[in-house]
Amino acid sequence: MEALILEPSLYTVKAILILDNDGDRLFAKYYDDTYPSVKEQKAFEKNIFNKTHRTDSEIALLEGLTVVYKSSIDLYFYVIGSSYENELMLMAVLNCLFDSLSQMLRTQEKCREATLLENMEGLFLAVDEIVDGGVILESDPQQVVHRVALRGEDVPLTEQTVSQVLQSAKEQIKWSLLR
Amino acid sequence: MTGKEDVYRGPAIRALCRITDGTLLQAIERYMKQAIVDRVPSVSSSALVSSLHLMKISYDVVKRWVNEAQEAATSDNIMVQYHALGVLYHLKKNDRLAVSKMLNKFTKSGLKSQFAYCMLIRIASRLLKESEEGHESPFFDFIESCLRNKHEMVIYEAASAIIHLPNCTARELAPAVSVLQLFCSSPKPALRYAAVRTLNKVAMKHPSAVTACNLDLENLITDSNRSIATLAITTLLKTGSESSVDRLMKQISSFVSEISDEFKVVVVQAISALCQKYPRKHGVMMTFLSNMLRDDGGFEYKRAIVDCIISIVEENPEAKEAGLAHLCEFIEDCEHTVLATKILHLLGKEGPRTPAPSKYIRFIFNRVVLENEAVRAAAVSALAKFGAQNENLLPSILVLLQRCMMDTDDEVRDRATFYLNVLQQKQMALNATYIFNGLTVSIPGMEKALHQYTLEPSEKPFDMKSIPLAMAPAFEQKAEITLVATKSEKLAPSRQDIFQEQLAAIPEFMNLGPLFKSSEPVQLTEAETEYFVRCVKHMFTNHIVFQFDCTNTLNDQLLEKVTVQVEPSDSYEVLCCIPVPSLTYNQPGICYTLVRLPDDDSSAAIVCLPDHLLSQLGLASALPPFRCSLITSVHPTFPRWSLLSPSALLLKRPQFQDQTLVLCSLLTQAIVCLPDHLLSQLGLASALPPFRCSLITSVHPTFPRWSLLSPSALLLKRPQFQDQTLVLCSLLTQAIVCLPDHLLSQLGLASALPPFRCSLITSVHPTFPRWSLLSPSALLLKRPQFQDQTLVLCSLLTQAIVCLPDHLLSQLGLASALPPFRCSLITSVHPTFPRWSLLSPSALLLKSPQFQDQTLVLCSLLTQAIVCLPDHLLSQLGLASALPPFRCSLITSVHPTFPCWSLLSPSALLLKRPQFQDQTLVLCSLLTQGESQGATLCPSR
Repeated sequence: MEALILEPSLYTVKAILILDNDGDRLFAKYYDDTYPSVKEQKAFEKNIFNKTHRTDSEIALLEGLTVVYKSSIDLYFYVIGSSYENELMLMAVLNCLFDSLSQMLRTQEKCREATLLENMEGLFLAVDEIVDGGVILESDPQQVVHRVALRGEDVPLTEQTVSQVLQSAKEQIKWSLLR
Repeated sequence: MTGKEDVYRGPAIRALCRITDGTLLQAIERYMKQAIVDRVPSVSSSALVSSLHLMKISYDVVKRWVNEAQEAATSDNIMVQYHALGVLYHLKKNDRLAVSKMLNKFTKSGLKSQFAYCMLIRIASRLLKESEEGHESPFFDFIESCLRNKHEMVIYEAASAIIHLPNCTARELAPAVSVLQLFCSSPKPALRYAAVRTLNKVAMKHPSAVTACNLDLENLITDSNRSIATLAITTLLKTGSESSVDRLMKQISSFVSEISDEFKVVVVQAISALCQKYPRKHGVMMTFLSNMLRDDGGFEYKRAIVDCIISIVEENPEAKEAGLAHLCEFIEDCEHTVLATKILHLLGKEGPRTPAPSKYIRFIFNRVVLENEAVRAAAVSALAKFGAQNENLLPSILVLLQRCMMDTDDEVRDRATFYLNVLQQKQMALNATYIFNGLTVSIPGMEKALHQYTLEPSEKPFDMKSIPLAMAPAFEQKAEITLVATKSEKLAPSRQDIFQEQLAAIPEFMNLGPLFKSSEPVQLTEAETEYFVRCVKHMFTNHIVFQFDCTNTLNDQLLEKVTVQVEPSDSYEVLCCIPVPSLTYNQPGICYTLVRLPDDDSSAAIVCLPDHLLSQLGLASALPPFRCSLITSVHPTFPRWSLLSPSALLLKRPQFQDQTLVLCSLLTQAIVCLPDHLLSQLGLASALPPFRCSLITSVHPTFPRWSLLSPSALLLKRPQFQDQTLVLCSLLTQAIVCLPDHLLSQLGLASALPPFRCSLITSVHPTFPRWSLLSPSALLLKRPQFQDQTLVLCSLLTQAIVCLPDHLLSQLGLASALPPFRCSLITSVHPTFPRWSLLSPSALLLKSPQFQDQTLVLCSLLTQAIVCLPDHLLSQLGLASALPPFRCSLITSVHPTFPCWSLLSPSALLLKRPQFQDQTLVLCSLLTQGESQGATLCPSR
């Protein structure tokens, strides 16, 4: 146990969950094998939901894991880490996830289940930008939104500004040289 | 990953690395290196994190990217910095020095990233913990400085790191605790939670450090987050006073149903600790616990409560009835078989001794009616205990047991029948044996024995008596038990059991098979020596394990890697030695030596000395491990090695001289007390006399140690000289016998010199051949060419003769032989003559093959002796006229063959040996005198 506390590691996050109003899974990503099978995961999610959906607090200790959570209308966001993990780090991840989703979904105040389901691909991309394999990749929501949002189709040349054209030309030359 | 669009490149790298295996990694290595140092943070971060993941696949390849990671660590982006630091640490974590260097570098340069700071703190605290160096270390300073960081995350990480450090003093904790205290009033629940949780941990070890936060913690009791409130309360329970307990308990019960099982267990543990602290509060606690017991909860939670109540019941007699009542109520509706049986057992143990035992019967018999087999069986056992201890309940119990005999389950029926029959006998002894005490054997012992039994099927039924008894305290104080010198007969089997377990725990001894027998511990040293060593021998089928319990008795010394060297003969092979890593003052340590027994069992000779003989010797209890060595030395047919093994070993190591002495004295004592008829019975009568003399030396209390050592050392060291020694010794003994005491006293030696008696007498005894004089320095016998010198040496041993009046000498027939030796004799009897001078010659002579040098030393000794010799004695010797001016050169003249030059060289020799410098100073002054005279003497010759 002591070793667990002190083994310095970048692997911080054990899971990220988003549950709906009934405690059913909308999105779940587990980064290690604390809960290897879907059945165990579902049971864990049910347990988490039961313990947290009534209260408005944002942190709890469940099954030996630290759970930080946030709710928004009909959505419940969870970030789960080891009980020895720095709770504030987990909080940073949760905040980043929540804020970037809020921005991406263009909802000024709160996210809703409906809007989230419409932008599922954005959610997946955002989560991947925030945590990679348990390691916190980015904690700044602006950066996350930026990285996810620019992923549109290429804008036709005619509709680009002069500077954009120049920029892309520069890039192309540079990469052809590099190769 | 080399595309033009930056936002695609990061994900591309991550995806590529996710699907890459070891072989493909080589192909993308170049791109990865480029990506790590890319100026776009997302690319660099992705590459670093991916390389972290890749380490699991191919550590060696990633190791080559360390320079790139180093460069990335200097990046401005906070996440890149963090990831680079993580990668660097994982690459270097096996190299402590590199990690500490890296840490130094980053702590000095400072970082922007709060995440990287957290990582640094963790690395630093790990290093601190591993190195166990004091908290003066720069790393500790670094962690402490992080308490003033602007990011809460870093501050919290630093505070938590300090609190988790081992052996932190209250003063070092203070800044961390005050930071956490601030967090307690933070608006962020996560921060409050983190702070309280950490304070809770502090309270376990240093409750006093947290008392300052009590006010803040009390505010948190009403926190909307139940986790925070629970932690706050449990922390307060640990730090609070008796008066606040009631209030706190009330507050807990108000929300206990809302918190998760984990926290409930925490609360129960806190209450359990509180009960021990304030036993008078058991009423409040018990009510609270019973309420908790009624609530829903998982097995772990219920078990924690039941354990808590049981511990209260066992420790606090006042709480017993209330506790048992609560537990009875609980088992009425208990779904956990384990808990039900546990409680039934407790009821059976405690119930009969309460004022009203009958009220428990109902609860117990209800179980027999309603529950599953395991619980029913436990209930039957509990009933039987009531019947056995309460006369007036017995008839009812018998009826109930009879009903149980109709049970559907075999075990329940069996138990009921058995107990019924035992109880019907109405004999207290039977009740005690079969009902209260149950299984008294050690459970692990029985498991082992049964396992062994199933492995080797035999006709005989399994014998319960072969299993050692269980001794509850024996297991707790294992280490202590092994060090207790005297043990009762009853303890012995369990002691062996402990040894068996201890030895089985050592990987080297795992395959030795069952432990046959362990000897009683025997002291190898006297208690007041620098270290105290005791030996226990463990016999296995084909091996012996020597267990040496060593204790360091010097409080200013730390002994490390302590081994006891064992050097047995050829047929006995030392397989391995297990040293004690370190031996601090008064902390016993155990080292082991494993010796393989030879296939032909020469140790059978041990059997030849019957036990009753040993007991007659008063040695039976003290000596067993040494029995063989003892016997070997008295029995001539016993193989040599056994004689050698202790002594050879011990003599080689100066620090073990004491042990040898002990050993020798043990041997000698034994033989001394052995009556002659017994010896002859053993066929040893003729062989023994040689040892008698050495015995005598050891018996005399004033006799210095070394003198005891020297004969035995010689005897033991060189087995080939035993014959001669034996002869010599027998002569000595005879001589002692024939020399009347008044003669000795006349010689002025009777009281002071007992040890020398023998050597003295040997030399005066007429039948004693000259060479036998030499045998103490047995070595010299070997080299006839050194006889002349040896004669001089031997004269040292025959010292007393000088004082012997002439008429006595002539009576002894030595008068004519003596004069030349007289002066040398005097040296040793003179009271001011230092001891060492007696000792050193033999030591020197034995050491080097050339005896010239030794002779010189010897001569110088003689010279010294003569110097201290009073003049009147010299004159008596007929030397008076010659002496005063040339005392030293005198000696040369005493012995006609002694060359003149040899007198001059001692100084050279002695100066070379630092241990002789003091003497040399004296000597040199003599020599200077002598040289001038010698110069004149030589030509005159």
